[in-house]
Amino acid sequence: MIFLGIVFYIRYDASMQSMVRKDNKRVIEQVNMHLDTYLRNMMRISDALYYRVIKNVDLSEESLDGQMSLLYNTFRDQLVSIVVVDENGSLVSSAPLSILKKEAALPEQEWFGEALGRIENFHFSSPHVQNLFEDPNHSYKWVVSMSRAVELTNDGSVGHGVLLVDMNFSGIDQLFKNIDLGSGAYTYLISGDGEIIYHPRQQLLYSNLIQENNREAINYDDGNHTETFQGVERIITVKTVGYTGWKIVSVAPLEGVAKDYYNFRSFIVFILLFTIFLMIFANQFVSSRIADPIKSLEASVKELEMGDLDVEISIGGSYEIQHLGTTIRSMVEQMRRLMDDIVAEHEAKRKSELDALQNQINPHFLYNTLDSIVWMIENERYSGATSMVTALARLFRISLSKGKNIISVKDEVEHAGNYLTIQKIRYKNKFKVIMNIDSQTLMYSTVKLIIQPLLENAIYHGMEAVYNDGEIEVSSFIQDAKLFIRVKDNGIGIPPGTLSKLLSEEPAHPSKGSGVGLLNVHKRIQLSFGADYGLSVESEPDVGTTVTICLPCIPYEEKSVEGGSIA
Amino acid sequence: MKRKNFFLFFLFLIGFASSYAILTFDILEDSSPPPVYEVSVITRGRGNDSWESMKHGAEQASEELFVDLSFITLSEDSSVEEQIYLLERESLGGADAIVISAADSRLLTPYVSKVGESIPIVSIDSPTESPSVFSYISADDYEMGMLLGSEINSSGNSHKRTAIIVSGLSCSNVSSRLDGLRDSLGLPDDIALYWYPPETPDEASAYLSSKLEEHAADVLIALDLPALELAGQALIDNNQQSVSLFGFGATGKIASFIESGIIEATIVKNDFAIGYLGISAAASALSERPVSLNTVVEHRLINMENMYDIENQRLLFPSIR
Repeated sequence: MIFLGIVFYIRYDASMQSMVRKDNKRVIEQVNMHLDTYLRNMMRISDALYYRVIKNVDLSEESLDGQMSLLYNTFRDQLVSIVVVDENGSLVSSAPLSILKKEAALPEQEWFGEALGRIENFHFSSPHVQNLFEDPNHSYKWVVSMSRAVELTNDGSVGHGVLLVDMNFSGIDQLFKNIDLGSGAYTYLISGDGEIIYHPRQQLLYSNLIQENNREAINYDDGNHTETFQGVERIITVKTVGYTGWKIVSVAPLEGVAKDYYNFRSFIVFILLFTIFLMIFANQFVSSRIADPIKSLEASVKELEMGDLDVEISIGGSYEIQHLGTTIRSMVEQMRRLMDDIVAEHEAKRKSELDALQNQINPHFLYNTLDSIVWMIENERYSGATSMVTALARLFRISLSKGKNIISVKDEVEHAGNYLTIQKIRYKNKFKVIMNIDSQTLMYSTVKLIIQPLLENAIYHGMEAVYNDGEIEVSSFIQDAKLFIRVKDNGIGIPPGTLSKLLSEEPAHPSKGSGVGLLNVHKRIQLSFGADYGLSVESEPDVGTTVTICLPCIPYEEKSVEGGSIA
Repeated sequence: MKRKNFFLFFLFLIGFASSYAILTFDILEDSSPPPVYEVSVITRGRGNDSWESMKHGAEQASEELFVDLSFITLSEDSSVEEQIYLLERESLGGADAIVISAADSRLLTPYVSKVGESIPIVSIDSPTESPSVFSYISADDYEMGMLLGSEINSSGNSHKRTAIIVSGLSCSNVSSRLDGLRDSLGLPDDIALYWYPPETPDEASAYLSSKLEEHAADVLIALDLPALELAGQALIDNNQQSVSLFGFGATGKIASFIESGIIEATIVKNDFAIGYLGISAAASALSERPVSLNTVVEHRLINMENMYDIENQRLLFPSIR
């Protein structure tokens, strides 16, 4: 677009310059025609005088004065004087009739020498002051002299002489001064040797207040030229005037030419800029219509990649992009549904697994307890049976816990206490229990029924071989921002081979009881709180076993843990 | 497209359209014609060829610089009173600037200063002492005096009885010529003759005739143009063609006297240039463009031998049209 604009501008510039050149040439041709006519008139006067008067007169018999005065008076507006001089430089005749100046040495005049030097031609001088005749008014007129050699007949013999026609300079001035080339352009006239004959600012040139490139212009051929004079680039048009060797020179400063088409130039530049602007705008508009929906869609997909399944997939732009967006949105919807299904399925699986584990506990304990109560009633130990039933009732209340799997440590400890109450009755205080519970731990959450299986293990496996000096210590504490519940017994301990398998697999040969225990508790804790938590077992044969429960410190809030895990 | 982008586009479109309208239709361009200044030129003499040439220069400048010119000559040469009157009249009459050739450099100074407080004043040819003058344009009168003295010496007149026709001495340019002349001739005051013709032309002619009848001098030097014309005429009238006459200035009459040998040489300054540059300086002062404080124009020595040299013709006969 810029290239086109520049080409267009250059073409227009060249066209304008060409037009100016043509215009100048046309004007200069016209001026030349007028000047030519003017000079031809002068030559006709000269011819008329020569061929009709001088040639027909024998100077010894007749004077030229009358005929010359007649001719002079006919053209007096254009003429200053007409003079005929013989070859010796003596005045033959003149019009108007005047007294020749004493100082006027005619043979020394330039026009005299030129006329006799080349007798076949007319000779034109540069403007000069006419200084041949006395003038009572002391008036000196600027003239252009036209001289030619003539044949003078005197007493029958033919000799040479010079006919001088002094043209009034104002005649030439009139031809030039009304030329209007516009915009600082002007025309001047120079002689064959480069002397200024006419210039619109002639006096300024003579006073050296301005300069003209006339000495250079004399070397120009006819036609158009471009020159730089005094830092100004100008179009020069030259035309040589016939007969005289004079040259008409027109000068048009390019600055002036440029000024004429300034408006058009600004118009071109503005149209160019406007078109470029419109193209940029249209390009941006179209590209934004295409690219923006794609960018939005890409941003949505990136968010999706980051895992945000709730992202709103952008749909916009052309039909194809809308279709793509709709497809991706539909895909995300489907993915979201699938994910929800998987999560729900996973949760259900986890819950059923947890419930299964939980359910393993209850029948096991209930069987044993009821067995003990039966035993006590059979042995008529009714008060013990009553206490046992009461403890059992409280135990079940906590076990039920409104169906919750997560309860407070306080309830869990109470539950353990009830259990121990039952077991102590059953085992006739064969062991003693030390409860070392940090009150700060009571407020935290725990999976329900995790202490009771440990106590059960301690009683069944630890206390069986111990007589009256069995000791079970239940303690809770907080360490490193974790909650620990520890059950320690001084029973027979666990053989190392068994200890290493306790938490890794189901016991190969379940011992007395339900066959479930530590692993059950361990799995339930990990299902609820993650793999970082669970049980750790330390045991030394014949010294005792310490089982430690590790739980996160999660404050217990009844509402938040309703019915399930809080992990 | 975003709303902001559309707004920007619309804003740019309006800006573009406004700029285009401004440039294309020249809304901001001052389409009014250039100011035409009224400038008055007050000469210090009656109309003669010298002032006429100066007028042509002033007219040329006025044409080029859009100046409404009022060229005023005096009813009698070197009339200070008339100049003061004209100065005040033109100032009150609304002239934007005044170009003046002072008839009396000292006496005119306070009046020029006063007028110069309100409008620019340019001095030409003959200066004033006023500091409020913007520019002074003239030939180097001291050099002119020196050149003429040199010509007198070289023409073999240095040891002859020399009389200097003293006129217009109140103009400091004329006094500068005298200084240059004295320095060049080496004339002690007690040797040189100083003739003081009356101011009116008739009385001055009679005075000069009476002096010439006394054969009091072999060489006459006129310091200004009117005196030179009168002296030449007096030599013709008294048939005293053996007396060599030198002077300053050029008219057709003086050229004729040179051609006929009445005047041996004259120093001619470029009056056209003084007129042109005077108006140019006034126009520059009015347009607040820089103006040169002092401008010197050319001068030439013209005698019978060189008067038709092309350069001298242009200076001696400046009215080419």
